[in-house]
Amino acid sequence: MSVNALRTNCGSASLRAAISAQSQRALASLNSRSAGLLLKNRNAGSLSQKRFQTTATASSKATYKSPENPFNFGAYARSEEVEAIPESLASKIPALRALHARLGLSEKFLYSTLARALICRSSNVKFADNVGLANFGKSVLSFYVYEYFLVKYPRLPHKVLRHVVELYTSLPALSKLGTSWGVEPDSRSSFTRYLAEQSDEDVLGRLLFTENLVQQEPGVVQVVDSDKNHVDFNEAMASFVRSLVAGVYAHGGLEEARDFIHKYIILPRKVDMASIMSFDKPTRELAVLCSREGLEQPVSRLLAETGRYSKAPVFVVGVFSGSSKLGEGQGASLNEARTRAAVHALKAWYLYSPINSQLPSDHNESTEFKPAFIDTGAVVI
Amino acid sequence: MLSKHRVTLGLSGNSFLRSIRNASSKHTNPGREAIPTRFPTLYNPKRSASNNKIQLPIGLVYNPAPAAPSPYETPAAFLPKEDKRTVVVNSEEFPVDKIPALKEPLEKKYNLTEKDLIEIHNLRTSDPNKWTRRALAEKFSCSEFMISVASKPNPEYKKEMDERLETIKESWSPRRARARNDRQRRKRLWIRDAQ
Repeated sequence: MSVNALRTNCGSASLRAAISAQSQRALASLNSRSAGLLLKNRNAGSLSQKRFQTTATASSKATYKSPENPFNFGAYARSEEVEAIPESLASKIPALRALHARLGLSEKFLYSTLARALICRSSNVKFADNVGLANFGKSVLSFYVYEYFLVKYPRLPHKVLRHVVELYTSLPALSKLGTSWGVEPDSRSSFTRYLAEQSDEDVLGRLLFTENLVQQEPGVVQVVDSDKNHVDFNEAMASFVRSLVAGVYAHGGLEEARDFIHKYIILPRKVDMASIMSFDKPTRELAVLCSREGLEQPVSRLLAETGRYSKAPVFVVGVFSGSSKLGEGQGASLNEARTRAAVHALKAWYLYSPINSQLPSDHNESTEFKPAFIDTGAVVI
Repeated sequence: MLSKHRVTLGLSGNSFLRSIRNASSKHTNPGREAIPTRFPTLYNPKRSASNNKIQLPIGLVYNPAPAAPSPYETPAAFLPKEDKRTVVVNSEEFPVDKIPALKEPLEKKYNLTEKDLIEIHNLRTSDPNKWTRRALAEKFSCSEFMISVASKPNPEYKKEMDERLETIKESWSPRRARARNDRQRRKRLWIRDAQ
């Protein structure tokens, strides 16, 4: 995209946002006032909801003001339409104080930041949402999770490494984590919240979003396509966890954000890396690996067996390079045991983990830099 | 020998002898040997068979579970040179020269020239019925695997063979089809070394 195109795009977006933002408040109040009447008629009710959605779109576009020159990064600012959450208000909300204490966040971490991390863009509240925080948090999170596993298991094939990182940072994984922290979701529409006579201040401290599941009638749920106005529960909860990482960074710096990721996201869960790996031609791959590493060709030898002529025989086969054992497998046939032994040996190769490895981000002025182990790469057959 | 362990209770002149066994025969019984156990213990599997309490000696006892080895333990041959850990390899544990190989690794001959490879390719594509992998392997004195690496099958012939295989598969009974399917499924577990 050229610079000019970017400028016109930004310009038109901000213009549209400014226009729609003016009419937004009026429309919202109009909708809420006529809510009682509209509820009686289902069709009319859905119509009002639709109008609500259009206002939500308008509000999401008006969150930030883009400057005339898109490269003037200092001039990007939050729109006046979006309010910042006052710390005096946030610090009085029991749910926020409880969550803050439960997570053991430092005193520097403001309650208003925690409250903002819980507001998704799809929720229709007047306060600023967590989109910026979540985007930043996502990058920091994937960076440190990658770093951790790259240094801990330097020989992991890239595909496996990507899968492992995905297991730690995917939406369902983060959502499960957020749920385990006891974050209470609130997916009611602003319309429903109005009917319950709850203002935007009353719902702070809960995970605010509009779910993409709309209950049409009891027992019938419609799935709305995920867009900015409707999100999956997992997506909303994950955005909170990511925003929390960004919040820790904002108040404590990169070091604290890194420690937070290690302490809360990586270390509490354990993924069995060995069960992920699979090898199409294990014996051939092992032979190639041995020749690449200058080891003697692998030879399978029968170590133990029982019930060869019975219904349930067991063979234990070891695979050796010269006199040193590389792997061991057992199976109901010699072929199975041989294959499993080769797979075991390959897993043992790829799961090598250096002792006392130092993460590059661990290094600071006071410690001596210890380079991470770098492997030649996966075996190509 | 026996009298040593008996105490005569002489209460009166005509009293009979009563014997009381009051000494252990442990030290006097010959032929008692220590029975080797898998790990050091005071428990004797023969003598103390009725006493199922295993008495471990004082101190640290290394007694790993008799389980399959874990892939997280890197074998000595796979450790990089700069790794400081040392793995003590007990050469007597697996006397390789006494354990025959399941399959002796074949000597690589590298006897095929460029001309041979072109000829293999031509023969295999021109007359696939006559020049099968086995026939070509015999002619060029190499392995069938080498033939498959060096050339591709005739596409028409391959298609015909695949169709024939499909026809055979269609005639399988449900039971046989299930059994074959299960066999493939089990093989997918082998390559993950999963149960």
